[in-house]
Amino acid sequence: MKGIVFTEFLEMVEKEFGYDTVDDILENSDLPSGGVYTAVGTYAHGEMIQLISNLSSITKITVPELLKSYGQYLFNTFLRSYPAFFERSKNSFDFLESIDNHIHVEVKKLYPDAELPRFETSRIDETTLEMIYTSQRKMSAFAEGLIEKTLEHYGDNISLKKEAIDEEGTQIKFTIVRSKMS
Amino acid sequence: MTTDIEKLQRRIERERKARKAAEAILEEKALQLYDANQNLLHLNKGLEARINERTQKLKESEARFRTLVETATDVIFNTDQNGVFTYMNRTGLRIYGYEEKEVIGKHFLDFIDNQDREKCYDHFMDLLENKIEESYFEFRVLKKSNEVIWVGQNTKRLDIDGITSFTAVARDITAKKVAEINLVKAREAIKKSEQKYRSMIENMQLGILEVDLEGYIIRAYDQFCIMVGYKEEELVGQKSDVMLISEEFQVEISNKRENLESHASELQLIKKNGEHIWAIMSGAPMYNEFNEVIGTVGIFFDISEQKELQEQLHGARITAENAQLAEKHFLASMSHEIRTPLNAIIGMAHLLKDTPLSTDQSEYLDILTNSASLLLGLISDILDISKIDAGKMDLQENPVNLHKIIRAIEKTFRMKLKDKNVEVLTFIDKDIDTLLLTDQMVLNQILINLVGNSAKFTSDGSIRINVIQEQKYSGKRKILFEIIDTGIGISTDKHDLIFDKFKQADSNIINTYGGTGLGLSITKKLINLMGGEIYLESEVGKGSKFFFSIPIKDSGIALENEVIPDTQELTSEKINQDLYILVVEDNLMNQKYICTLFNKWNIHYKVAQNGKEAVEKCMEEKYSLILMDLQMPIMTGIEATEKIINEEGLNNNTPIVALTASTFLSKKQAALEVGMKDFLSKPFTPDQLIRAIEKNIAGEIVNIQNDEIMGFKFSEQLDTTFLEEVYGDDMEYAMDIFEIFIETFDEEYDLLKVAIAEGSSSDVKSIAHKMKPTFSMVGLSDITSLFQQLEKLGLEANTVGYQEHFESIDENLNRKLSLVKQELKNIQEYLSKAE
Repeated sequence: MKGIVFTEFLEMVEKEFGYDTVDDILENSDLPSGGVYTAVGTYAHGEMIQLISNLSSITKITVPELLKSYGQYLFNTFLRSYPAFFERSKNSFDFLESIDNHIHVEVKKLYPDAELPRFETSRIDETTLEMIYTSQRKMSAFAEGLIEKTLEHYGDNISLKKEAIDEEGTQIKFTIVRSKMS
Repeated sequence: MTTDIEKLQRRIERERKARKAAEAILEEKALQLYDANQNLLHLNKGLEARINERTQKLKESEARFRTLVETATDVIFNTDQNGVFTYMNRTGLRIYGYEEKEVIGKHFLDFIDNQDREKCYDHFMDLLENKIEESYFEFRVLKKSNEVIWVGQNTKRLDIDGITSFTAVARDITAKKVAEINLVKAREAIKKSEQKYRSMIENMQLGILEVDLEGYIIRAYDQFCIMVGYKEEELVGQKSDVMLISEEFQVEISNKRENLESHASELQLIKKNGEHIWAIMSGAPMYNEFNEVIGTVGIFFDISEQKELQEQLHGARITAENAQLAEKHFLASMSHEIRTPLNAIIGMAHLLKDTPLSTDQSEYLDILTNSASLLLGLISDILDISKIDAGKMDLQENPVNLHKIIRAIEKTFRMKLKDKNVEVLTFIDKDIDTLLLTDQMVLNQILINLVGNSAKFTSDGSIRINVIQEQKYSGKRKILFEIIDTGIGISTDKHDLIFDKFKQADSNIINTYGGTGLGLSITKKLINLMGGEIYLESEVGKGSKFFFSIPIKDSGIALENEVIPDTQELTSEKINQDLYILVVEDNLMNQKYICTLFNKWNIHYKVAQNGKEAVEKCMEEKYSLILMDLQMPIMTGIEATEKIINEEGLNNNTPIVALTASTFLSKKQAALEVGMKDFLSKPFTPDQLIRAIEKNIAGEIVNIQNDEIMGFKFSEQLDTTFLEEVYGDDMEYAMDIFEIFIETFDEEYDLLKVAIAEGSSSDVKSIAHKMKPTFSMVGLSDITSLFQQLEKLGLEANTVGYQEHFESIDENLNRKLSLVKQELKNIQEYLSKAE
């Protein structure tokens, strides 16, 4: 898992819960990296699971809640760091469609070893987009936060429906309906 | 609280470590970037080198191809899709003689000879419009020097990126083309020459027709069409034989055509209007250029006019021949009609003379006899002259003994001149040692005329006959005859005159000596006829010498055994009582004349009124001699003679003497041909009659008279030469042989007949061989040679040949056999008398 996910996560924890919580989850986890993360590095996914689980134990907030919040948080980071990706799309549907087709292609060029989730999109009709999330990380809540923030960013009046396709949660279908073309 | 400090320390430591880790990652990344950059640089350099290398190779390759193209022996060029030159190799420029700048940018048609420009344009358009990839075309190019050459060009169409262009390779094929054109010209020349000869033939009025192998007309030339009146299109495809050839010639012509014979035939063609025309056709097989027979060509020439002319000529010839025959007939009849009464007059005058007469009567009778003889002589001479003038005098060449002739003449004139003091002397060249081939009658007439002439004008002295061989060359002798008298002679100025008709040396002569004046004229003509000329040397009062020389053919038969017996002078008293003569004569006066003479001479005789009666009489009795008139009613002498000789009877071998008023050789010839021994021309004197009898039954007379002193004489009808040679005087030997022959003949001959009938060639051969020599031994040499032929035919197994040949042998032999039997009898008689 890319280093930026760790650094941004710890930044959000520090901001929301203070550095003590950061230090706490780092100290209470068995981390091969020793809790030292840099945005350009790559770290085991298990480390993130431990960090989130420890945070959930401390804060009494469920892991999905935390992941969704983190998604919302990270969207802002992305928007700040890579505005070009967003400027390119006119609306949320265009952007969401560009994740697999464009953004992740660019990410793969920079980080050939990155393991990225897949977002397959298909337009059902003019106002409905169907998006299927597939990832072994089972972090659909994280994705949901990002999606919500995206919709918010483009200012569309939209309803988002989330349904699991399998029991394990590796595949999730999001149905996004736009009330009106803006 | 240490916790906060510791936490801070951990945080700082973590962040320091994170910074270092990030720096290490970045350093590593930078290194990777550097390496990648270095690699890229390196790669770039290699790429450049390879590009350079490839570029170089491409340049070399292009140079190589360019050299190839430039130095190629063929013309190579490119044009754009409009046919404008974009490139031409050096060979092309050299061959066409242009500078590059004169070609590039110009249209290819500008370089093509006028004659082919349109053709080439069409070809080019064809390539363009029908998208033809490759083509080959031959045409003429106009060189800069205005010389025209033939090229053969391969053109390839190229379509690259939608742009069409053409690449062409052309080759100078002028030599090949010229050869081709020459060949075509040569063929045309042959065709023209053929045409020329055809038209020549056509102009020669010869019609030509060509038919295929089945006889269907392929071509009919103008002259032929004119000949038969059809148009060519009416003839072509028709069966020529059926349509054009008259039925009777169809099969023959079809066969010849089918057998591919070259032939020339006369035939009749049927014209369109049904008319028939005569034509000569020459047909020959017709060949194509591969020497295969493709039909027949016939050349026709219309000979209708010639045919008509030929028929007219034929008609004219028949008319002329008929006229000639009529003339001949007239002359013969004349001769007969005049001589018969004269014969009677002379005969009666002779008889009258033997009756008691007064002096006056005797004198008148002499005058009558003389005048009649003169008239007879005149008529004979006139007829002779007419015959000679009319060219009717045919020379009949037979083997003749010149010695005999001269001796006979000598004798005749000795008799005639016995009352005068004139000696007859003869000389005959001993070198004349063979029988000569000449006309005895004519030669006799010449000599008798000349000697008679001399006798007439010679009252004292001699008449000499010299016969001298002047020359002898292959198959011929040149004989000189001289008649020299001691008579009155002829004056030199009359020498030429005396040979003219009715001319005599002196007008008084006729009064003194008589004669018609035709004798010498006839003689001269006869000598001319025999290929000689008569000459005269004479002096008045001293005598004359007539001489001539004529070429005479040699028979090659030697005279050695030709013994000329001295004929005894005969008188009526000497005629043997045993003679028994049949007189066949329809003319009563002649009958009476002969009968009176026979009575006078004590000769037994019988008279027959015509041929039929004669034949009947010959069945009843055997005669020693038959005197036979030729022209008789009911049955002619010729017919009667044939029957007497060939049919059953008692007189098959009795000599028959013809009595004839005809002087024509043909009549006499016919008489001899049927087997008569001799002939006596009417009118005849008693002397002539007795001589004829003597001559033809001489053997018998002499035999009777000279039995004791003479040896045996073989029959003249047998080969006496051979018999005398074999037997000599040993007649007993001869008798033995003849007896053996008669005894054995029948048996062997029967065997031969069987062999012939059965066609057994080997038997025919061996029997013929065995029998062959026996015939010669009995004097039948001619049969021996016939058997020799038979033997040969047997050897050849020529069945038809010897069967036919045997028929003639059988016919011949029957007659000859009785001769042999008679001869045996004669020999037996002779021997019994000799004892």
